[in-house]
Amino acid sequence: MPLFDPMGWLALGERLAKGSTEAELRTAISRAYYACHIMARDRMFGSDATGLRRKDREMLARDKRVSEHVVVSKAIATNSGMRSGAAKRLSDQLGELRSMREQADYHCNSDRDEIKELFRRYRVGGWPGMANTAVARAQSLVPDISVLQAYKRRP
Amino acid sequence: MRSQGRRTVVTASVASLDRTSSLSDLLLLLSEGQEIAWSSLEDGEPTVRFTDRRQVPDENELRIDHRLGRKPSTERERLSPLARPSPLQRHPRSHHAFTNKRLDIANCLWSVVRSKALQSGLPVDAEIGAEEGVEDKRNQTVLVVHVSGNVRQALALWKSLDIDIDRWLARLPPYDRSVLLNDVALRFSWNE
Repeated sequence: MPLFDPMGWLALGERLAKGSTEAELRTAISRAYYACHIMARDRMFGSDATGLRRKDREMLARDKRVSEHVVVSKAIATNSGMRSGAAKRLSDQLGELRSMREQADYHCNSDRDEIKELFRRYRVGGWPGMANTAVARAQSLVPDISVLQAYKRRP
Repeated sequence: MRSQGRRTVVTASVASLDRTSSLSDLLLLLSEGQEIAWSSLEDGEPTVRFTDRRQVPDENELRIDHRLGRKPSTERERLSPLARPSPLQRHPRSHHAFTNKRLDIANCLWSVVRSKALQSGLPVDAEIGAEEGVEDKRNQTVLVVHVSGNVRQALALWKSLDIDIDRWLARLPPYDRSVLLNDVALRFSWNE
C-alpha cells in the first residue's frame, strides 16, 4: 500500500471550511492542524515517527506524559537543520494551530470563555472565520514543513 | 533626552552606524538592557526611541494588576505596555504564565516585532495572554500581535522576524533562551 500523504487532510480541510455546519467547520480546523503536525513529525522522525529514538524523546520531553504534539513542537524548535529564528516561528505557528484545534475538538459549547477568547483574539465572527483562518495558516506552513530535515539536536 | 509630559523620551540617531549594523540589531542590544520600546523613521532618518522605565507611564498604558486582580509586584509589571484584560487571563491557573521572566521576554519580543512592523509600515497592536493545552495542560505565555493588514502582509511580517529572533536567541543566556523557545510564543492575527 502506498503511504498516505497528510496533504490529503489539508485538502479535505479546505473543502470542509466552505461547509455550512459547525461539525464541518470544526473538523476543517482539526484536519488543517493534523496535516501539518503529521507532516512535520514524519519529516523529522520518519513515517509514523518510527525513527523517534527514546533518547531524543527523553531529551525533548523528560515527562513521559507529555504528548507527541509537544515533542514535535520542541523538535522543530531545536532541530539543527533549520536556523533557530525560523524554527521558533514554525514551532509557534504549529502551536497556534494546535491551540485552535483543541478548542474546536474539545469544547462543544461555543459560549465558553475559551471559545469567545479564541474568536476575539483572531478577530473572527464565529466558526466560519475560524476555519478559514486555520486553513490559511496551514497552507502557509506547508512550504516550511516540507523542507524540515531529519531530527538532529542543535548543539 | 527630552521630557514629554510624564514620559521621558530618548532619541538616538543610528545614521552613523556601520552599514552592516541594522536597526533591528541596535534594538536587540537595547532591549537586552531592558529599556527599548520602539523605533521609527523621522525625517528619513532611522531613529530609536524608548521609554525610561523609571517614569510613570501614560494613563492609557494598561496595567497588568487590573487584569490579575492584585497589586503589581515589580516596576516592570506596572510599566508593561502589553497588558490587556481578557477572560482567560483572569483564570487563576493562568497566573504563572505572567512571571517576571516571561513578561520580560515577551516585552523584548514585542520590541522586535514592533521595530520590524515600523520598518514595514504596517500598523500593529499587541496584547499578552496565556494558553493552557486542553490535552496536556501545558502552559504558555502568548504575545498576540494584530496586524492591520491582510493575511499575506501579516504572515510576511512574521517571517521577516526570523533573522532578528535568530540573532537574539544566539545572544540569550541558556535559561532565557529556554524560556523563549518553550514558554513564550507568538500569535498573529489580521483583518479578516
